[in-house]
Amino acid sequence: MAAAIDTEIQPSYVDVDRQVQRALAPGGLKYWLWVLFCAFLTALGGAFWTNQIYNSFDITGYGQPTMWAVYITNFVFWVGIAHSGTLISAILFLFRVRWRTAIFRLAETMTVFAVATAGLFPLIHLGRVWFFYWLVPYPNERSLQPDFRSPLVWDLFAISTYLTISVLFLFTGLIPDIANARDKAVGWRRTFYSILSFGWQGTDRQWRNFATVYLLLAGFATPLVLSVHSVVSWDFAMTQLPGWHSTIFAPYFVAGAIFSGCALVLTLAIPARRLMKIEGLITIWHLDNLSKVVLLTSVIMTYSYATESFMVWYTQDPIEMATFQQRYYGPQGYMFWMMITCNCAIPLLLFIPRVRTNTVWLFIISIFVNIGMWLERFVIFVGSLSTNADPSQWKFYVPRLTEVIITIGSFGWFLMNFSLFAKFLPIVSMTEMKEGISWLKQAVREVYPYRKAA
Amino acid sequence: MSDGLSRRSFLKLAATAGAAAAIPGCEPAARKIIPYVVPDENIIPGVPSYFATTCGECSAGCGIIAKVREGRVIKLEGNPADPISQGAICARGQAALQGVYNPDRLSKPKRRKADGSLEEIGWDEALKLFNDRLAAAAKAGKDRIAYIGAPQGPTLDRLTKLWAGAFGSSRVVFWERIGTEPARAAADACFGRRDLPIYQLDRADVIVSFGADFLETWGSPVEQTRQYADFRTPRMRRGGLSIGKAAYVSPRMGITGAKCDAWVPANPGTEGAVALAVLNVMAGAGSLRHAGTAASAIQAQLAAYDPESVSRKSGVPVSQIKQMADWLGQAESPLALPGGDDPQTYLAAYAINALTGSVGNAMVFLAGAPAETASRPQETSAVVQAIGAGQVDVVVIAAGANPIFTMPASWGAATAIGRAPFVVWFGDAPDDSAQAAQLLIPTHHHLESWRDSAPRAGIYGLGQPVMQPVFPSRVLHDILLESAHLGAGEAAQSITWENAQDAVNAAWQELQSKLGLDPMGAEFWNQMRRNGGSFERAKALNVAFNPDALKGATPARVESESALLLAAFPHPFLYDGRGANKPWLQEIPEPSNQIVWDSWAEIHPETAAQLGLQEHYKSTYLYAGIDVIEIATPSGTLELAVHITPLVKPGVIAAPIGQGHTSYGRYASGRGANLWAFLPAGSRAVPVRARKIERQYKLVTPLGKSDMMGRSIVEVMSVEQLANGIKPPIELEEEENTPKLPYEMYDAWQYTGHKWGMTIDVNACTGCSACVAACYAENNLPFGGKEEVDKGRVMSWIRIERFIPSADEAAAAPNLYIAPVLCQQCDHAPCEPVCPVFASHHTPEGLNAQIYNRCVGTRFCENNCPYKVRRFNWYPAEWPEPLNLQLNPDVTVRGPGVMEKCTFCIQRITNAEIDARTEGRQLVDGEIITACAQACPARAISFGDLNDANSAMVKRRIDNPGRTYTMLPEFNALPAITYLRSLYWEKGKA
Amino acid sequence: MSAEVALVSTFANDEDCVRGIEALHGAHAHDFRAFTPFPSEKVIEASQEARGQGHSPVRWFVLLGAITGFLTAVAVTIGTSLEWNLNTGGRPVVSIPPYVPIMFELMILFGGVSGVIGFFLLSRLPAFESETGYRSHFGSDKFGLVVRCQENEAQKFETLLRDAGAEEVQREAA
Repeated sequence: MAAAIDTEIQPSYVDVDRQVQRALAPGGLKYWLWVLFCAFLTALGGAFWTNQIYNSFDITGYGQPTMWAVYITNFVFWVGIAHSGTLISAILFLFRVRWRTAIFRLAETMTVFAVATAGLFPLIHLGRVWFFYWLVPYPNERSLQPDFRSPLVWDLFAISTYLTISVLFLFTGLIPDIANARDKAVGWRRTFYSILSFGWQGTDRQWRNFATVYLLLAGFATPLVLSVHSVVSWDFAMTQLPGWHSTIFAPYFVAGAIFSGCALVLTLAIPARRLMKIEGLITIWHLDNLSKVVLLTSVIMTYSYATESFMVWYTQDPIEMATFQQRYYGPQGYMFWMMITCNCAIPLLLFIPRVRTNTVWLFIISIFVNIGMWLERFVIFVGSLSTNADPSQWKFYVPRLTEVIITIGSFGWFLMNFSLFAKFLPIVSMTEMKEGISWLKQAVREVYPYRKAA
Repeated sequence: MSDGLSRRSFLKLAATAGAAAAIPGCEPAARKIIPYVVPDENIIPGVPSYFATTCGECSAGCGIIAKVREGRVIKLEGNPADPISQGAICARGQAALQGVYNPDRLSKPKRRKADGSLEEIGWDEALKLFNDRLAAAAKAGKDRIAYIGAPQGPTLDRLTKLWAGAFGSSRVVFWERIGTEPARAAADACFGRRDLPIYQLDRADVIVSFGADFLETWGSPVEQTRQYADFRTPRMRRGGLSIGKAAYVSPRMGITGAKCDAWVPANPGTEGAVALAVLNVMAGAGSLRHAGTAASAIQAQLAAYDPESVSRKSGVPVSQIKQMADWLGQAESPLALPGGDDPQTYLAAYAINALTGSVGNAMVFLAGAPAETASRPQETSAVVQAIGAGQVDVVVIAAGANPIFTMPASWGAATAIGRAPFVVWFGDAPDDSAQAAQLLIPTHHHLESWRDSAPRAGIYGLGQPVMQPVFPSRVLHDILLESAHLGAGEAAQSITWENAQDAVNAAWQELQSKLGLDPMGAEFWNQMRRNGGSFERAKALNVAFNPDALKGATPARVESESALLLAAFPHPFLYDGRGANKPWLQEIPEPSNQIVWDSWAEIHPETAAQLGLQEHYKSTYLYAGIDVIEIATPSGTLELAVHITPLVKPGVIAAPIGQGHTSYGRYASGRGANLWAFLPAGSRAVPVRARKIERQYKLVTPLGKSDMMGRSIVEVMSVEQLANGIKPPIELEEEENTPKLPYEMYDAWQYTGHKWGMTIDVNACTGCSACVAACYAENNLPFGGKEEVDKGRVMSWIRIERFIPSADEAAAAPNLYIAPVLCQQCDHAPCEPVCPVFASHHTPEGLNAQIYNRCVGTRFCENNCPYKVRRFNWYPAEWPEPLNLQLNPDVTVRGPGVMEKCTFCIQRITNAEIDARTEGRQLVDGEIITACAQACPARAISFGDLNDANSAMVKRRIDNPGRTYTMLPEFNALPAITYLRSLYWEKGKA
Repeated sequence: MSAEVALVSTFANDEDCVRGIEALHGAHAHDFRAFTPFPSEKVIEASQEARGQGHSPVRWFVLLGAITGFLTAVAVTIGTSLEWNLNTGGRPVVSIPPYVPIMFELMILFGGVSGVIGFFLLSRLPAFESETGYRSHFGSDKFGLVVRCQENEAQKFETLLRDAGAEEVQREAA
């Protein structure tokens, strides 16, 4: 650490370039083995999906009444992950939050690939995936159209919009950095960067439009990110199923999304800054701030859980009460308590400054939060379906190999994309780092007391 | 070189491999369509033809109508002309289709080789072998040939006797394990006649059944279910609104006990003793109105049956015995129903009915009762012994009698038949007895052959073939006749008919003349074939009761202060085991336990605790399995998985009969245990010892919780509440919770023209599951087998929900909550707006439609359905050839990955509407009837047009104010189905 | 007439660069181009002021896109409902509330996309030949200011720029 801190004291524009572009150096054997491993997991997941399409859902653990299970859980999990990226890159940008500069690119990359992963699950989940395009309104001679009353159609529009806007936002921000990398690069990389940089040269005219469009995209992404997870939550809140039919879902899901997302940023950033030797740019101070967001959202989640249960108790609706009774003490109640531990109890450790500035602690906590948030979705979705309005139709769901492998495969797919991006494109925004160097200096002064701890 | 792979054959192989590789695709390929090369002028493609015939599935002999499309029978329906079924049909009757199309039917004659394996042989060879053996046996002497078959109706049975006679043998038995002998013996003792009385439950106002599961298998369930529904319908009696009152004395509740007011748990085998005790009390109370002076004598005869001692023996509290006596005594027209194999039960019941004046009213002996169908057990056992003693050279096992499976262990049928030098088996699906046969010959199914039946006086059912045989089989009696003509010489001259059809024809000419009609008139014959038989009203007889009959009352056979008792009961669908090879009957859950594809041992929680039995759960607390017990009976030990339930008497192990086939096709063999093998002759109960063994087994049920949790799924109200117009608490609660109108966001949708709806009388429904079977048949529902059911993939569109009242409800509730649940066709269907592609939407006629082709399989609709009645095709549906021939051509077979659900039989609605339009008229109420409503023996379901205020369905709602409710109203889904609450007598007051 | 030259001046930081721009503005020389490694607001504002420009017109692209998106959504949702008018759950054929999310999402989508298109058009991207006087270190750590002028004026501007704090000033043919 010490070395890293020293470079922090006087980082110049050149330092930034050097550190970021050092990460772009050709990857070693270890790197490619890792990418290969992720690719293998992806392929495995793909193979099982193919098998599922070919042999129908017979091979899965699905059955009455748990029509939705692991796949939709994964879908919401990944969409949730995505949100923190937009939060950090767009919302914090609008609020001119200094510490975002070093990590927003990483978070945004995570957003794009998380959405790309999430987008797969509704397809994997379909009974007849080869007809998925029927959800899209397109002119046809039989004038068959989707039903825009269905939350699933809202979902389709929300997710695709979100993916498009995130990609544009990420890529626009990338152009100047790619141009910068182009000027240093040689060989095929130079051609590669030249094409991607569109001949950017950072003239005042280019910057003028860049600044505006970047600001406006940020302005759009902010309501978008809130709408997307609200829409996702309405897939459930719009139904009459006890345990789903609740008005708190939208805010509650958004908070949960940011919670899990920031946790995953930590999970990714901590090893990334070490492996890519960019501790000088993504400093303890940044992680510290991130973990404060995690802490805040964790408390919001605790409040939401309490409110959700309170509303059920307050209505005294017997059906809702029974469902929640099962959620807490039913056959799969242990999942609920694990979730509470991971989402409400463990993050409270972040109140301790020493924990917030210790990468090992942060990493472990972030992993727990990810597990907890996945469980939360499982508990809400599958649990409520299992204990529906007709007791004679209660049945509890246990995933089988196919679901498990496909879930693992989705992680492989996400990590593979992320690793490739991190190796070939600047994972830290050089332009904004330079813009923020003065702030960074000030920041280093702020974190000075922590440095001994680190 | 030559033995190498030649270039030509290599190319062939390569080609086939290529073709094989090219086959796979995402959706199952369309089935081949074969056009008529020479069109049959009797067959109009797409237009069904109907044939009236007689059901051969059990001895009730209901009249049925077979719906035939393109020469294949696709559906069986009750024959409205038949006074027994009156247009209804039971689940077993429906499943006859899967008997005729059973994939395990024998398709060629087979001979057993020395090594015990079977080889296919030609017909000529097979028949020659058969005839030669018969001839040889006939030469060897008299009675060297034995015939064991199930009763097949008067004519064919007469034919069989003549055939045997021609070969000089009288060893012909018509075997029914669940027989009528005790009833006939008792009738003989009481009234000096051996025929069976008929019961008219609807004429009684109190019914006490002593071991007769009259809603499940006893007697003629279809008829009794209808009568019982009538019996329980509220009407004015003694100046007050009331329903019939019923009690059921039996070791297990079953759905019969569930529908009665009082289930009186008694030790198996002691029902007779309880009946006599009741009679005793009644005699003492002087409530035997027609006994006159004999009452005291009767009481004296029954001294041994004082309530106290009987109570000790049977485990029935004295109070309950007295109460039953009281009910019967108070009643205007009481009815005691005797069941089981114990003659004294029948004695007592007949005595009660006779001495209270119910004989001739609720219980009637008719003039001209038909001859006994089944042989008496002693005759049968004698024949078996003769076989065992080597006095028989040729044993013919035919017509679905499965002696090795059904006969009591004490008779040693298996060893006896095994010892016989030559055993011939005739039938459709080779069963356990076929394993002992040296020669197996396929014969027609009863839907493919000519038969007749005489279930009771005045009723002559005609059984005609409804289609060409599915397999190259032959008519049993044609083969027998041929063999007689060939081998029996002049002895066979007496047999004048060429074949079975002639015989049946001749029999009907006799009937014709008996009815005083011109024997030559062909019109009668045609009319009979249209009607499905001749249904005359036989006149009731006045019979005198012989008080001395009760002298013959012997003490109950099963003594049991200490030992556990095994009570075997016929499975409501599998009956004595013949239903086990029909997947529908295996897949439809047994109504009172909801268990599928298995046999089990019902044990009361107390007894289970004593034996240390329990359910086992995985680490996730998910049901993993249940303990297995080893039951030691006098005739061997069996192992059964335990089903812990309060619906059985403590100290009793109740187990269903019907499973445990060693060979009866893929669906039957290797499931559960065969209880018959452990029961003594003439009894269904036996004292046993049981111990837990270190093995667990998974009984599978589609039922989640048995606790209704106070939700308005099956609503009930007491007779008092109905009579005094008091609303049941649940309704008050609903009214309180429902927001006051107007609370809708949008204006209500207007339905001009028809709007289809349904009214279901939960009070009438007995859970017999005929509707479920009918739905499977009508709508091409696939069956998945035990594993798929275990994964929660039952495909039935209509299900019987049964809940057990919790302890605190028990006082104010029926014994079980039972109701059919199907798609409620809601106006505000929650499933519709969530579908992204309009696959689920509402038709202008108020139907909640599902477009299979449009469905992409998001399964959102089922999530949002409060009633959980939508079904997803998790697996590709399969009907092993030739079961697929049964599929209804009017209904799509759904591919994997799409949702499906009850359509209110939209194909029937559409057909009727098209007919009405072509004939330029309005639809008539009752013209359209859904498969479930059509099958229902209790008439619980009525279907009609909600916009037609005069439709029977709407009337039914209007006529039953205070009883109507909709399921789960808090979801405000506005179902098109309205239920009528089930009624019960409040305990204590009852 | 004398030939045109380009003066390529290099600055260490944006303040100096801004001073350079203001100097040129003072000298009424508006044919200049500033290169910065990051979107320095100071430089952008200075140059806009020098050129007398307001805010970037990208905003109008975004606004138009957003409006188009919203209207498209209105048309598509209501249009398709009328095209295949089915009753689901007793709702009217055109039930507006559930269409609102669609309208919102499409507004965002179209607005964002057209904004980016506008950005590319207005910034003359993709550019296929290099700007006059571009130096690769302008992309990383230096600020550049390139001004075109008549050869005879070159000396004057060079001193202007040096006074503004240029580290070095090079001449090259325009």
